[in-house]
Amino acid sequence: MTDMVLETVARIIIPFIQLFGAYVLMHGHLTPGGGFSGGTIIGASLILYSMVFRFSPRKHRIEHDTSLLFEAGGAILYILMGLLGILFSKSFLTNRGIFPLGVPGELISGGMIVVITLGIGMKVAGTVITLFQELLEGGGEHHGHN
Amino acid sequence: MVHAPVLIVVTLLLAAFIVPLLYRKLPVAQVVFLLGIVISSIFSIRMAFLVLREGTLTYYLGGWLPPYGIEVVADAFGAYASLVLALISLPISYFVVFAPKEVNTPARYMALILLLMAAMQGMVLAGDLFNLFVFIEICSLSAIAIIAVKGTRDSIEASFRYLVLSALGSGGILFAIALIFMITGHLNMGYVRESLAVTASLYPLNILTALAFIFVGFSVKAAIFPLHVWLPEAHSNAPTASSALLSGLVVKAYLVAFIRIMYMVIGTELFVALPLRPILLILAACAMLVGSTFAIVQNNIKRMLAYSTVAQMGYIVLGLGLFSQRALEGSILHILNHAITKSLLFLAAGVIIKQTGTNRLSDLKGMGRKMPFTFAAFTVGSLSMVGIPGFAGFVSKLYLALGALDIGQIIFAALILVSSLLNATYYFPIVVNAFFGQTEATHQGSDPRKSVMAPLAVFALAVVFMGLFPSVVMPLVRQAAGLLQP
Repeated sequence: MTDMVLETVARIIIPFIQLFGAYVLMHGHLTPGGGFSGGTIIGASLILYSMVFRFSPRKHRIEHDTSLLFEAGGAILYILMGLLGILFSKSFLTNRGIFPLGVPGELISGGMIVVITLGIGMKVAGTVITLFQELLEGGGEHHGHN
Repeated sequence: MVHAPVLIVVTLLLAAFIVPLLYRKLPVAQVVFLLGIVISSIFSIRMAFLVLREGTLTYYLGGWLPPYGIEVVADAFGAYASLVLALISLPISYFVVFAPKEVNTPARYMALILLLMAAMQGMVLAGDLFNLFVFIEICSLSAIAIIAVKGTRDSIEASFRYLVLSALGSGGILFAIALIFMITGHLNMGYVRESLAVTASLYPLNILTALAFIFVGFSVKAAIFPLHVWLPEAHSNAPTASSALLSGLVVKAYLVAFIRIMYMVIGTELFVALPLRPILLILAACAMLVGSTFAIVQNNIKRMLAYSTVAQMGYIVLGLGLFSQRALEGSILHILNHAITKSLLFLAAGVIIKQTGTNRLSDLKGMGRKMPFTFAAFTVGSLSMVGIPGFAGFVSKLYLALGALDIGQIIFAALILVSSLLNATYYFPIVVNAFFGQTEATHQGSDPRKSVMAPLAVFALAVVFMGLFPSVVMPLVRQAAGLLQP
């Protein structure tokens, strides 16, 4: 079942939600917000998408793998950033001296914080959409993900 | 700079996020899982040696110094706890990989176990209260998840009850941390300690409230006597490996965190000034007697073991309350000894249930002759639990009893004896019936294949080894007990 009003509105609004999410994400080190808020906003846009344009089970399956990849990948990115510090014989999660810090207040500044925020955003967006899908499927045990 | 303290946690976390990605290639996921546990354990063992040789290790994340930066502290007590976690987790993770599957989603299950291990390692090594709380939360949630993952009605019900009580405990702990932060303005444990020496007398009510909330919060999580109600259901309805992890390690990790806050942050002066010791002693005594009594009347083997855990946690708390050097050493040693023994017993019980298809103690008569090795392992565990000389449990109980006598508390030495007798009344009938009971042959069963038996054998050997040569870990235990003493 599809609804033309819903679909049209969603088509217009989803890009803006995602743009705003990306804005919050990218300005994590400059303005209030950051990885968690940005990730949630992007995740919410994906929930809206999956509510309006219902998935066929086949498509759904791919979607699930993608969200899993985002979820784990974000966290792995964060950890790898931290391990870089050890690689440069400084302590875990060292920022100064490894990453260019840039001019404070500019978009590309703050060294690895931008990357880490991105990782958190990925993870949160992935988690939000995974939670939603798990609820849709009702546990997921009989679907045999594993 | 020694990176071991932080790498212990990071390795486990990294593996925890890689494993779920590999759910289609289960053998690869299993390799990553085992690698994560093994590498982290190597770091943990190395750290224990370093701490023993050079004293406390500290690590500053990102190079930021406290009070603002995040600090990881591996003192003798933390290093000891980390070593216990690492050593016990090795055979259990082997069991997770090689034993018959009990869960439908093995990759997720392994990821949860890695997450749980990371949280516990973080909990015993965290140097500031807020990170401690974060790890407590991760630990709670993953502990609940490894019960619910079994998917049966009972396990979901048990894990939901655990979730509710555990959340109350977390709330209490967070509130207490907020109160402490309110007075001291610090979260770093060392700074809080320094600040409390001055401010505690100015704000006695805040400190008292914070202490009460910490005590109750951790009592729920570590299943200290009147708040243990979630434990028997949760530990007996979990998958076998989860039961071993939960009973062997998780409750102890919480207890270690509690001890660290109580003795190293709040400080022993305050600890002695408040009527906390009598409370600990009374609760421990009740736990030892009531836990054992409840265990006697159980007919479900895993529920019996779970009630036995309640009683054994009483031993550890007793040593803390007695507060003499030897009693503290006994307590700290019992953390390791009980972890080995209870993991052995839960794995053996899991194998017995799997092979015979029954979890009723009354059905196990004569089964010892059909599956001799499994029941031999169970017997070793039982002997250690009761405290027969030559087995691990005896050594720590001896230290506890001697510690009680050191400060003239004969009644608690007697209590340990009585509780041991109670232990004997529920462990020995199982063993005796299994080997010498009349075979009614109502149930079939045989020893499982060797790869499943291996972790049991390792634990059984460890029980005997710790019973004969406790001196291997005693230097670290002494150092840890010395830290707790004023």
